[in-house]
Amino acid sequence: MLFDKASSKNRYGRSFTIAVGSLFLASIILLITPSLNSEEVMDTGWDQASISTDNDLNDVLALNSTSAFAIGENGKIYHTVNSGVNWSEQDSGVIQDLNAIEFNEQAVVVGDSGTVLINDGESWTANSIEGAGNLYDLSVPHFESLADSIIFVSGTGGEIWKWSDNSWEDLSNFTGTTNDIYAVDFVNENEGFAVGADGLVIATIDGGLSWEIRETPDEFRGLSFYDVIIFGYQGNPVSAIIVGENGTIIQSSGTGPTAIGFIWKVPSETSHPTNTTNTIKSISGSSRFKFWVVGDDNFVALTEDGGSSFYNQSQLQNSGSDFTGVSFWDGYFGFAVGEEGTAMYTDREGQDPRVLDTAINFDTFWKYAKYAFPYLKEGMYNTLKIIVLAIFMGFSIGVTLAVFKTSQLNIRIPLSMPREDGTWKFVNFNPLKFFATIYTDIFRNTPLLVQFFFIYFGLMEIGIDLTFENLLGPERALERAYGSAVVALGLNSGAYQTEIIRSGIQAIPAGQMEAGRSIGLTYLQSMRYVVLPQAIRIVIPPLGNETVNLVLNSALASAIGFGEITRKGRLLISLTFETFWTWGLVLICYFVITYTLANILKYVEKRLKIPGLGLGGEE
Amino acid sequence: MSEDETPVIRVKNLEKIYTGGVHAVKGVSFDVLPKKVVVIIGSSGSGKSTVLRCINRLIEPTEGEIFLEDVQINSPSTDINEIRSEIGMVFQSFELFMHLKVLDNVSLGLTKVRGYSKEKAEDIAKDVLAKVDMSDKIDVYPGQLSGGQKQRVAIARSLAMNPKVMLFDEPTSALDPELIGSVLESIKSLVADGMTMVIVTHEIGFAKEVGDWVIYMDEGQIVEAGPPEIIGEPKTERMKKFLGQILE
Repeated sequence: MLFDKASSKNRYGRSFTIAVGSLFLASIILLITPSLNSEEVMDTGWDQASISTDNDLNDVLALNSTSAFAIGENGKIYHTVNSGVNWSEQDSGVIQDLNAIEFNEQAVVVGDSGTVLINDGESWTANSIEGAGNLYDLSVPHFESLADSIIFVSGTGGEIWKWSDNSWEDLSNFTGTTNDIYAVDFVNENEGFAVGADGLVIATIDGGLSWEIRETPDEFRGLSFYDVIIFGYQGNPVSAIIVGENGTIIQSSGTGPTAIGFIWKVPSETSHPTNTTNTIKSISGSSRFKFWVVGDDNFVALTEDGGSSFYNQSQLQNSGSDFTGVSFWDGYFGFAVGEEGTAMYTDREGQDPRVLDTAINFDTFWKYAKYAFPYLKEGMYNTLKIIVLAIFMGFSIGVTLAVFKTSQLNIRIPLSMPREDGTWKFVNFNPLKFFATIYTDIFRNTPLLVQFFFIYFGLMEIGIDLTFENLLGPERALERAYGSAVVALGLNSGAYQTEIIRSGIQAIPAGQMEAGRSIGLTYLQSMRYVVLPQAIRIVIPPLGNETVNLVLNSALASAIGFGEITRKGRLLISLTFETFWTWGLVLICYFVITYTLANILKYVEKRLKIPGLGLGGEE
Repeated sequence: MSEDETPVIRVKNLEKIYTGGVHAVKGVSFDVLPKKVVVIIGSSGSGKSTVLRCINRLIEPTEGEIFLEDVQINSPSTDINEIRSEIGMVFQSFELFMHLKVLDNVSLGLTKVRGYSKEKAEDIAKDVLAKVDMSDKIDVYPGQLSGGQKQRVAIARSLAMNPKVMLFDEPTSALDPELIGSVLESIKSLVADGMTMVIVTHEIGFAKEVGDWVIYMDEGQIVEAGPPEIIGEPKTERMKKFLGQILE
């Protein structure tokens, strides 16, 4: 009979395990799919303008506010006149990879095997260099006609060539390096910089006939630099900015023809303004203060203060794509391109506009769901991030304070005056119970929302740091709203869990504690090994309710700006105006979490069930 | 009682007044000699359980002195946990740890109090469980045992700590009549092994059989005390009346 019962329980247990397991697995898959964590990511600053090609795009050139050339592998050149909505492929006449494009009266492109192409407005004509290697960049300081123009190109193995007087001249012997030169930029016909592999930075002031090394700080030895931009004033260079591997951005400013390039302003060790270790590939901007940088792994960022701080403009839709080129027409209109035809366009400096002139329209739910999915996924991830820590914190507080509340510690405090017969009247005072009671009373009798505000805004003012920077270090410090949300929910839930676990402890017969003490266990050992294991088993169902409550309460974290599901829902509505679908999906997200959690707890309850302990032991 | 034997337990002028003012024990004194069995009988509320619980300080004595050999149990400087591990206690309602299997119930004190390794503790636990004839149940939870089996496990749990004295607080009161026998058998085997014991019980026949010294308590005081024969010939009216009620 016993055996029968056990086997039927097992069968039930197995299907239960499968159900819970699959729900759990689904949430895990949801979570581990790549996701951006930063709440600052704005998905509305750029419009997607991808080109339907498998070829990687290597550079882009904005011709005006709506038209651009994009160039890439296998001699591909694409052209758009309508802000990237349509791209038309142009006949480049070559099949070599094209690497860089530059404009001065006419567009000029360089590519592998000495390829140089010039656009006369109608078509591309080759002006390639015999015997040159792969060319990575170019600069066109002067252009009247092809016959009356100056073009510098740089490439493999320290190559630099100059087009003047209608012919190519090899300046490679003057560069003094055999490193690949990835970028070159001239502010006028004579003064320019070239940067490349292994921390190479060289400059010329005589049109490339001689080059001298501009030493960069030691920590950049070994890093490759991929782009350089020289900002000038009335034809004189005033500022150079170099970008490259490991999120590097360094700059040098000065006045006078030779002043820049000797002292480099390097971000301090602690503040990494680009906040990335991705390789930065390209830089473009309207002034030395306002420019964009793009790079590997969907890195797109804008600075408006000359590089001291950046706004991350990564778009979720481009997750995982490397960006290779960026080009702005002015400070508002620009294009960025990357691998496998990735391209995007902005007419609003890449920033989230205050007012959307057109909401995104979705004709079917599935299109909308596909759009909303990344937001909600990130929201769920963030919600889980809060609740996992908050449940853990709440449970720790709950167990500790429940033990406090049931403790027998009594301090006898004499009342102020002795009685007439000379004896003293004492009152018993239990400081542990007193503390726990105050704690639970406060947290259970005030609104959770106000607790959130108090912890997020109030504690900051008196200098309590909920980013835990001192504890975790600046690298791993928490977002303050995140730290606050965990603490607020954990403290609040701790108060409720205290009461639940206390009731469990009190439901265990006093004889159990006595039995524990009688074999020599201390009070705390008896709690730990005898009373609590039974008490907690009894209170698993109400603890389950409390954790579900905690998940639901986590929606309040949206009020202090943490990007959990509810906040993502509000963001989605501000982008799409689809209130019914959005809130419906938000509800489903919560349901998935709480239902999974409830089932896991039911399963835990089954697993921990012990014959003869608690009610409902027999099924 | 001979003079040359040091008592294992010495109770001197024990008084207990509960917080509510109930005067449960009024100046009780007695000695428990090594390898002897002291049986305390008396009606409900006579203070016999209170005396027993005062001995391992599950109840804090108000006045008086209690010694385990030469250590005063109710002195503030005594490590009561160490003392308790030397005094076994068997409860009326068993008080097995419901969440632990039989083997773990018995070995818990050995690992957590004595600090023995798990293997050593389990070896000892298996030995004592064999002594109470529970070897076949080491892997079940207390909830799956009958009352008599539970009480035998509880005896094994106390016995495992190798105590200097064992206290039995009405060990058979909560059992059905047909289950009492097996528990009494286990206790008798302890007697045969020479275990020092204090037993609070209603089983007059059993008291007569195993007791070396019988104490009859009423209203917090010792009314009669002496060898088991006193049960046969009570001197006081109170004890006569009590025995009359019990034997009806």
